[in-house]
Amino acid sequence: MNVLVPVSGSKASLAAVRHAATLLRDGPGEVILVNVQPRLTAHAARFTSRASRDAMRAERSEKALVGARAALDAAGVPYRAIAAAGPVAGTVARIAGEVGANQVVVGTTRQPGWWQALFSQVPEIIDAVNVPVSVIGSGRSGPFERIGVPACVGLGLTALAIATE
Amino acid sequence: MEILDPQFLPALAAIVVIDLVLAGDNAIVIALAARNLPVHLKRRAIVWGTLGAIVVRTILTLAVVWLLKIPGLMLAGGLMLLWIAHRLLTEQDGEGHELAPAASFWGAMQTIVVADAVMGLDNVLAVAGAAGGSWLLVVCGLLISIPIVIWGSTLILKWIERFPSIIYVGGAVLAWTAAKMVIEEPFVREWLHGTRNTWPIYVAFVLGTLGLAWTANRRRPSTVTHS
Repeated sequence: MNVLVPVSGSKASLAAVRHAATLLRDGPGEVILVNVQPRLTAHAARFTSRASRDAMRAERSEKALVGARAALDAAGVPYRAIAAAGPVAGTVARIAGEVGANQVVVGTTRQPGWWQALFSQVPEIIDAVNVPVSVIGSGRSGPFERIGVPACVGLGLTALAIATE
Repeated sequence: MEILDPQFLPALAAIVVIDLVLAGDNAIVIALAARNLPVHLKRRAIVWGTLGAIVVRTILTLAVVWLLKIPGLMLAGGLMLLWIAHRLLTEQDGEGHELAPAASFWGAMQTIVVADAVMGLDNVLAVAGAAGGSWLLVVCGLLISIPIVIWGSTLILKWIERFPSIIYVGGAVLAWTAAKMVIEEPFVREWLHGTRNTWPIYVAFVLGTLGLAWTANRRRPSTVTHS
């Protein structure tokens, strides 16, 4: 069984890696770790070279994958790592198809449903891939992320509405 | 526009959002230009680059507010801002100009100075458009953008990566400001015959910009490296 795990380097994604390791501990198959880095905007890319962008992304991917590699090494589970650049959900879906993943295990911080729908990339991944997806919830984010971020977005939209009047 | 004006706070909020999203891009350009330098030169390049960004913003702010009073330039500025919003929302990887990574301090500084000038102009144009000719707002925008450029950029980049939708909020504010500038151009106002309901123009600018960028980003294939 090939289990693909998107890894961002966060605690939540590490919990997903550990869960994938338990799935493969006694059976054949491997874990495919995928780190997706965002592309630069066209606004910023015009002043930078492709080589330096690639080098920066490779460095950041490697950093994000360190914890996941260590966890799988410790568990003795075979794995390979893939670094990619692009939109997260579409890239994960594309790689899942290419490597023949049987399952995707994705980690997320526990949040209310509306928060997940608005800000999390997990629903997008579930929508984009064609294989079963296991969502591993862990921890809880602080009040700033739970209330502060949506409040700022709401205030911004209200300000725009007032200004358009 | 005075502080007690009901339009003051929304305009200030728009300026803060513009400063935040554009400062992230400026910081990443400075960091990338300096990345191949030895540690002691890298720090110096980043400090001088940041200082340059502030000086350019201050000088350009004064010039742009004055320039936007020239007939026709409000319309041109609005259209230019619409293009900036599109570029901010569109991901790019490899197309366009290819610059060699700078290996020397002066090579890196050259890239940083050009980027500071062009990105500073983008920022000032957007702030001046959102301020609608209010000097108080323009100065507020400048004062807000300076600490953001110095201390906030790395944090902003982190947040944008964690919540990519933030960049779409920023793009929406830029497109909205572009619509405002186009509508405020005297001859466009005349052409609209004093139409009160200008909201369809705002909606078309914002949804058009977001929709185009979203479609373009989905079509662009991702790049993959195996290890």
